[in-house]
Amino acid sequence: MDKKNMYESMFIIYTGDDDETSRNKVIDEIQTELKKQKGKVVSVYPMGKRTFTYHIKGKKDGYYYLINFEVNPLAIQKLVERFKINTSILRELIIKVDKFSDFKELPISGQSDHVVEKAESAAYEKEIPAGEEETIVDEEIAADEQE
Amino acid sequence: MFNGIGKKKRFLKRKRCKFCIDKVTMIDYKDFERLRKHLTERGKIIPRRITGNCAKHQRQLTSAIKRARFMALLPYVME
Repeated sequence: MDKKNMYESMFIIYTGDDDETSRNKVIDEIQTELKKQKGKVVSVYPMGKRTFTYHIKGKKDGYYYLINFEVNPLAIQKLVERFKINTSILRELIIKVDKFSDFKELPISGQSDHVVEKAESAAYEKEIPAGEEETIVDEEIAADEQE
Repeated sequence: MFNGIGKKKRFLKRKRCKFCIDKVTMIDYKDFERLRKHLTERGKIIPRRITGNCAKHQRQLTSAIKRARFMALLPYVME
């Protein structure tokens, strides 16, 4: 029964005010709930306020939190039941992971992908020689004709 | 050889999986700005035959998009 899995969870918390202490209270509740199930909280990471893409329970925005923890797999169902009762938690998503992601790499605000796209097109031209491209074209036309 | 008559040649660029080029091992739902590029204007997931993704990454992509949708990071329906 000592088996523990690594989980990554994301919570949307809405307390009705912009006060940080009330949000921390909810986070503490989550942590105590985890400790009750003999879980170990590895890290808590606030992702900030974010407007939803659709309304959740009539709310337009909420605060996102990412919590990494280790707990016995049998306890997950009980935890979810407890989280659903809490009215300050709008959504929770628990995912089993092999490795905890590094918070520094989190793309919270949209990063510009221009550099990536350039590298992509460069790799493209290198890997496909002209001859190969032609054969592909011929094949496709043949396929079209068959149809 | 004379090549002027006959087949009309379409020079299509061969599509390649964008995730394979970048050597992505796991597609993360938190990277939703990247996932957004694989949605249509209406918010539907763009099929593999159009984007050219490999099957492995397309499977990961759909689950990541669905997770991001649940957490209201991406829309179910646009407009």
